[in-house]
Amino acid sequence: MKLNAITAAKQPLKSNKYLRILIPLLLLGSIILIFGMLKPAYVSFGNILNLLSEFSMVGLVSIGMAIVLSAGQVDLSIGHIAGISAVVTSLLLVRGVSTFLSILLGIGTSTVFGILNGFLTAYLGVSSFIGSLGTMFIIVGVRYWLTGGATIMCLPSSYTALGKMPYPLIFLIGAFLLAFFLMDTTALGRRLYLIGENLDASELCGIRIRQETFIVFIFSAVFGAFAGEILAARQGLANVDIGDRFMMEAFIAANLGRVLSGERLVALGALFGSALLVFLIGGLTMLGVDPSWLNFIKGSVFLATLIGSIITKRGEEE
Amino acid sequence: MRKRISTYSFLIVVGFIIMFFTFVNPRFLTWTNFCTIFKQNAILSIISLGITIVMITGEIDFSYGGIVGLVGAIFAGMIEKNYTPISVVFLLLAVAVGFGVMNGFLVSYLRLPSFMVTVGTMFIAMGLERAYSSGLTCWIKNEHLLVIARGEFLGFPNLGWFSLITLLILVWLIYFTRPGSHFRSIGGNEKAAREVGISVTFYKLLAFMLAGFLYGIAGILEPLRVSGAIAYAGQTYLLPALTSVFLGTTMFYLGQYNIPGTFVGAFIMTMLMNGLTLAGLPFYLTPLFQGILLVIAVAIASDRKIKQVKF
Repeated sequence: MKLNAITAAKQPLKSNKYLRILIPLLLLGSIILIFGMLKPAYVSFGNILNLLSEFSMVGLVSIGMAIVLSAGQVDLSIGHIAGISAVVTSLLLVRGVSTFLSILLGIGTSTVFGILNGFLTAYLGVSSFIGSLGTMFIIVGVRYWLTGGATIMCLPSSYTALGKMPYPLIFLIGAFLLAFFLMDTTALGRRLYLIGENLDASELCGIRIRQETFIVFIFSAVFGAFAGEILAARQGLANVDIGDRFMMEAFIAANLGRVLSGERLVALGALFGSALLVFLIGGLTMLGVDPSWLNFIKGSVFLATLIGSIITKRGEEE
Repeated sequence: MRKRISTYSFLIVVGFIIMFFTFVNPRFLTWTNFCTIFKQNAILSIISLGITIVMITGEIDFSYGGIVGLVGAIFAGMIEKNYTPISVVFLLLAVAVGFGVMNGFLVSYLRLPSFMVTVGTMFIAMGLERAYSSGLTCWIKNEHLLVIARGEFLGFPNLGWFSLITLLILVWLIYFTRPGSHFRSIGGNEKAAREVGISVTFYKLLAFMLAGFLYGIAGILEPLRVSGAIAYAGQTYLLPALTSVFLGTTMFYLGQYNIPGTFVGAFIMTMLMNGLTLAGLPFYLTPLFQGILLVIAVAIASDRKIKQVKF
């Protein structure tokens, strides 16, 4: 590695571990500050609670997505998986099934799809892009068949209570701790990182790439399922395509997190990414920005994270 | 040997599907229905073929999700304001190719990953479409133009002719010309292609431009087909087009993106939808079966190795 001004300038960004946490926090702080000044209602207690709930949901799917990404795969169906969990739970709830059982079966349904994704990618050699695409299609068909296109309404209060703070945040923190523990302390996590970085080397090292790759899809499915449940609980109803938007947001947030906090801080990075995204979009919505422009902005943030990841990767290659 | 089995097994499955649908509803195997499938399929085919060109060079292109809708919206809008159709068509094709140039420039010259660039382009096009149409549908009432999409030539629907002609031109272009072989070389081994002196940057740019051109054509035909430009028309084709391309890798040139495969893939997707409708089965079974078909087809065509997606 040549030592000159260029490499020296690039060093601080990579080797300084505190920056990976500091920069996202600073960005978040700035966002809150700016929007708070532009519209004081932004920092009102009610709005912050709202944003935190949104953050909980997006954070859950982002962590799931980030775990999948770190293993070198992608789960495009995570939004639909979140949704199908909510749909199944809601269908059971309105038929009088107990809240606990309904949620359990909803998450179970999502897990089945996670298993499908994992099986396709890890054991059949289908590219996860295509595999999760197929799963998306299948879920679309299944949910229409289950609901007939109707929105399921009047969900019981025992369920909707879970959508009110602090429950969503509790779920998120729980998921975060689990993911953090898993990815950054256990050997399993380390193996997943290795698989993502160099599949062939991992295989030669004796890592069981098929089993490990399979597992990540279970995670994204379960985390996604929780996010879907929270969403339905908050809305008090489950529309047919509930949760679809999560895929794009999880992807953007997870990538944003990877760029800011590096590929090794998976859970934390996803958290930062989702916080930034949620607070940014929330602020813009509050300013009355046209919803279609929000899509444009999400896309731009995404492009920015992409360019950012290229820049940081090019730096590491020297 | 295994490749032979895989290729033919899929076609056999398709044969069974056709037999099943005909059994359920004999009207499935009529000339009229055949024409209907081509009409429904035309735009999907053209879009999918455009994507295929880009994917043959080893890149990916999502921008059709926005370009098709944008072109359609502006087309409908300007036609209704009585601009001359020819100039509108030229203008919009230029716009579509322009998007292709943008994609190509960012991917080829700036070496940005095509996944992101084209998704970004899609969002930009969608935003522009929204700005132009405000989300409203613009109906076309010009009968002369609508005939282009509705009419028939020699007993076969115009739309069907469009898709077939596109197929033939592209097959010639990709498999019988030198630029076509360059596309395929770049897709096969980019470094080797560069070493041999093929201008990778130029040809990738060209691929995106061609794709853009085709999206433009599709964007113009779509409002003619449904008599109006519906908001975000491109989005309906987002997944089916990709699926058709992926299905295409299971046929003709196994494991590689190829033109005839994509065309047949799109045709099968549409045929599936058509057959399910004729069988009286609910509409939501279409995405279900398309998903199952996609997964089965790709699973058969893939080797068992785990593949990774890199960003």
